[in-house]
Amino acid sequence: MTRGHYNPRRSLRAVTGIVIAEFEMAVSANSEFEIEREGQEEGRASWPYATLLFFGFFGTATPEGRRLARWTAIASAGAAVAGAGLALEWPSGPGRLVWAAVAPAMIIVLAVAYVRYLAALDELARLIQFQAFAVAYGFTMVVAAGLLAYAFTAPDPDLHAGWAAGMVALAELVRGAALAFFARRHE
Amino acid sequence: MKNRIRVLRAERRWSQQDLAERLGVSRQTVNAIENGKYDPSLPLAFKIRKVFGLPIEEIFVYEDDG
Repeated sequence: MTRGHYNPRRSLRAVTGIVIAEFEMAVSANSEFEIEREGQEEGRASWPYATLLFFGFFGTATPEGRRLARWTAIASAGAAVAGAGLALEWPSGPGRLVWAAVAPAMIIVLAVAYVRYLAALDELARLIQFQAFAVAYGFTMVVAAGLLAYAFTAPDPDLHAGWAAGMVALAELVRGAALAFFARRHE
Repeated sequence: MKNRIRVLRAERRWSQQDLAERLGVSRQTVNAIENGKYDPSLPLAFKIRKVFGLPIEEIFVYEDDG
């Protein structure tokens, strides 16, 4: 009787494949999400608002969109694994430093994937992305300044790491809304 | 800035998608330019000129020029 050996590399590949497939299905399940919508009336060309709002890009109808989706899924899975490792305090001791290195590395992967995506967009799509970035950046600065003022003035400020995660989530929400807003202005 | 892209495209029986492919942009971009919601960059304007084979001033009209 033969026993199957556990192959961590194969398991990681399988998990990554599932995450990518789920993400691509989520952003392309509806043709409305595609930047090039077929059969659309001449003179009207809607933007993929749902994808812009919830995922922050123009969908997976184009090769650059699919590439961004793939790398986002990989980096998100990596960040989730690192976060789980840190939260579960496994492995104990200096081994945990691996997760502390993996988490920022995944953010760098995300940033590089996004920069490559921006470079591949046409000029109007890129302008919309930059405008949304500017709004999200300004909004985040205002919120950060407010939190800083609170930290300095409140007698017993209740600030912790969760606030930073909340600010990132808020910035992404604002970016999504701004993307949909600026896309609508160019329709 | 006004432009005659929709008319020029119709004369050639091109769809927005056809023109978008010739220009290397999305259909949304062609639509935004035709509707006056977006003024193209200079390089894209010159590409449009080349695709239609017309001088740039016959495609784009600065509104102050009447």
